[in-house]
Amino acid sequence: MARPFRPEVLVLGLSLIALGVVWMLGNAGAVDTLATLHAWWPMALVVWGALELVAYAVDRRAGRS
Amino acid sequence: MKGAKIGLLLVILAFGSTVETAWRVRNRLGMGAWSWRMLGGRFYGPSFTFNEAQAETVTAETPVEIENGFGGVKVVQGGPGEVRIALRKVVCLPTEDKAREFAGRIQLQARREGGALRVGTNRAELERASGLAPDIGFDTHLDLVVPPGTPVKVSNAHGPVDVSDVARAEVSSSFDSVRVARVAGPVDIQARHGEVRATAIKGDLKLSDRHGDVTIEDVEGRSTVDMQHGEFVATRVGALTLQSAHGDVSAETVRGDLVVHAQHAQVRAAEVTGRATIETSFQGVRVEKVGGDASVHTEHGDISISDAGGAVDAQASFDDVTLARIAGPVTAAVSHGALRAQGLLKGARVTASGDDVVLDGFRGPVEVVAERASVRLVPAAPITDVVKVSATHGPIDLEVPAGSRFDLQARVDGGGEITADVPELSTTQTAAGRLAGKVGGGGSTVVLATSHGDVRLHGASAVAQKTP
Repeated sequence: MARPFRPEVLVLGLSLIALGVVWMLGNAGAVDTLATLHAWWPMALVVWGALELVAYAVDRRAGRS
Repeated sequence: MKGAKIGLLLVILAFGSTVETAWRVRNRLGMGAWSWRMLGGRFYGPSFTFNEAQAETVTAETPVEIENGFGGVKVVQGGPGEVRIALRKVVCLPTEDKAREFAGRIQLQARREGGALRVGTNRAELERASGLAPDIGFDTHLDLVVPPGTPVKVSNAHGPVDVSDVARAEVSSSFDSVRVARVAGPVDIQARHGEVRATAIKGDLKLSDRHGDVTIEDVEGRSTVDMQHGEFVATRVGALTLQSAHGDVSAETVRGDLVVHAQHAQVRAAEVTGRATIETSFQGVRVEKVGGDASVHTEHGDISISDAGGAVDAQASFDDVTLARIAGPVTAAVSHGALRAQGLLKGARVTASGDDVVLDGFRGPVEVVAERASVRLVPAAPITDVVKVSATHGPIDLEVPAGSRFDLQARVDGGGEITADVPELSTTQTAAGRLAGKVGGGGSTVVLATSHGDVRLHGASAVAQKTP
């Protein structure tokens, strides 16, 4: 049986990837790390919310809720 | 909601809060007097600049007095008969419209009082005005072009002051740098927190500064400097009197007397045509090429004096004294340190304790009192003057050049020996720990006495004639 869709795992993974990429670009001098994080960190909440909605829809279609 | 979701939410919010906090304090963290602190206030945030200019017709040599609060003041020389004033207003407000409206209320003021042209702004009135937001920050930078031969007086609080090519200058500044250059007459600078630089001053210079480095160059008159917490550098100046604490001192090419009263300061002086009087503590003193007498005192520091044309008085503790090529008589006192001297032309009176005393290539009378120290004397010429050495817990070595004439009295106590390898010595009295005799038929008095040490005389065969 496939594991249920867990948005928080996806959010955590994507957030870590994004944080690492921004940090790396900041160290390379391509972006201002703090300015980029300041501008984009709420996107983690937006993405998480969207994924929760997707998960809810998927669960309804599968009849799990 | 599952615990994992709650945990992740808290982590994201904590991360976001950290980023927001870091963003807000960015560029506003500074090192305060005691710890890190947040910088802020009315002079942070967006700022807008507005300019205003004005010209005033003046007669020759009309004094110009400038008063400013926040902002720089710059005075340069221009054409005759006119003072041109440029006011640059920097207003810290969120929008340009608001800043422009406020800048319109900042007025340049130039009025004549008591024969002088007084230049300033209406800052005081603005700050007192009712209804004015107290947290609006604004700088007023004044740039003046004055006629040749203008006496200038500047009073500023927060901003750099730069004055050049004027007849005389009087500057008072609190919290920024002061630069004064090419002044035909006297200069008076009263600074508190900022670097001060004065160059090419034809008159006398009076300067005080509490926190900041001070540099003076090419001052033809007398310089009187009182400063603390900063380094001092003087180059090509006239007579100089310096009061300093907590900062190193360097004076080079002083055409006159040099007087330095310093604390916790390393002092270096070179090429002083007059007398050099220097005292400091907890640091050393180095003096090179003094035309007159040199008096140098330090506690917990070393002394080095070379090429002095007059008498030398050196007093040090807990470190060494080194003297070279001294034309006048030497008086030296060192405790817990060594004395090494070379080329003393008119003798020395030395009191030392704790380390070796070496007089190499000396002439003239010598008197040495040493405790817990060895004494080694190497004359530059035959001994014909009085030599008296009293030591404890250390040997005495005296080299006797050929042609010396003196009466010898040597004494050792506490178990030492007296050895004399001097062919010209004729012994007149010997006893346990005692030796008396004449060298070269006798002449001046040489007394060598020590306890707990030997007395050794080395003859001409082993001594080469020395010249300083």
